[in-house]
Amino acid sequence: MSHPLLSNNPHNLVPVLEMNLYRDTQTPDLTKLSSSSPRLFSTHTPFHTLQVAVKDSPCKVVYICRDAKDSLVSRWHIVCRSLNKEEDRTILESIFESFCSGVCLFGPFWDHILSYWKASLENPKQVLFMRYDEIKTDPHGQLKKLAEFLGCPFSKEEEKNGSLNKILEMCSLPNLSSLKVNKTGKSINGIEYKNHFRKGIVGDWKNHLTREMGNKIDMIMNEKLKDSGLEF
Amino acid sequence: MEKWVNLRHEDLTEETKTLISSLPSEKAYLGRNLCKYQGSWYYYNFLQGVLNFQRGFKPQDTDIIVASYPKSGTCGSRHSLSRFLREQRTLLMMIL
Repeated sequence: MSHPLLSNNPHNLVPVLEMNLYRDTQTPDLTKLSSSSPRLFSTHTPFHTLQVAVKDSPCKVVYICRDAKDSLVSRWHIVCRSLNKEEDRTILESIFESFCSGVCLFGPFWDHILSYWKASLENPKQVLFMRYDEIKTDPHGQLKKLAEFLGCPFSKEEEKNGSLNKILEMCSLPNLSSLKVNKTGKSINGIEYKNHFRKGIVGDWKNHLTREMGNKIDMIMNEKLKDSGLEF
Repeated sequence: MEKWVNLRHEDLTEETKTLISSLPSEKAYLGRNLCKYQGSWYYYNFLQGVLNFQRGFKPQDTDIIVASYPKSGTCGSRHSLSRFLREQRTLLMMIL
C-alpha cells in the first residue's frame, strides 16, 4: 500500500496556510505541493478571517470542533513536550487563565467555534461543521457525511465491500503513530512529529483539570454559546 | 518551543510592524506577545502569515480547507476522520 499518508506526516501533506505556506510571502510556490487534486490546506484562523481569501470561491471548508477542555489539555501537553518538561501544572494554570480570558493564540475559543458554526448554518454547501466527539462515537456516519459534503459519496458497492473500514483503519491513531515517519521525523518548526500523536480520547481533560477548572470552562462556554443552537 | 513563533521582530515587514503598533496587544502565557486582529489573537509572525494569505491565496474551485482551533485533533494527532482525497477513483480519507 503506498498512500502518501503512510510515508509523510499529515502536517506536510496538508500545509497550514498562515504558518507553513504564507508566513514569509504572499506568493509561495504551490507547485511543490502534492500534485493531488483537490488541493488540501488547513488553517487555524476564524471563519471571517479565512473568508477574506475565499469569499468568491466555491471551495469547501471543513471545520473540526473539539471540546474546549480537551482542546486546552491537548495544548498543554504539546507545550510541555516542546519545552521538554513533564506535565507542568504551572504551565497548565497559565494556559487555563489565558483560555478563560480569551487572550490566547487564535482565541477566544468560543468566537472561533461560533464563526464556523454560523457559517455552516448560513452556507451549508460551503462549510461543514464536524464535532470530534461525534467522529469518535460514529465514525462511519461522520465519514459518510463528509464524503457527501465533498461531493464524492460512497457508492452502495463501496459501502458493502468495506471501503469505509479500510479508510478508518488507515487513519486510526494506532496506525498513524506507529509509522516510522511519525516516530522519528520533525516538522519545519522543530516539533517532533511524535509529539502530535497522543491519546485522542474524548474526556481526557478529567485526568488533568480540577473539577473547578472544568466547571469554570463549562460556565463560560454555556454563556457564550447561549442561543446559538450549539451545545457541549 | 515552537521556534517559528519566535520570528524576530526585525524580520517582520514594515507594514506588519505598523499594523501591530495600532492593534490591541497583550502578553499570553510564557510571556509571549499577542495582538488582536479581526477579533482574534495572534503572535506577531502568525499575523504576518494571516495577512499574506488573505491577500495572496487564490483558491481553486476544488480546494478543500480543513479548519480547526489549534490542537483540536487536526494536527495529525487524532484518529478518525477528517479529510478526503480523491485519488484514482479511490476515496481516501486523511486523518484528523
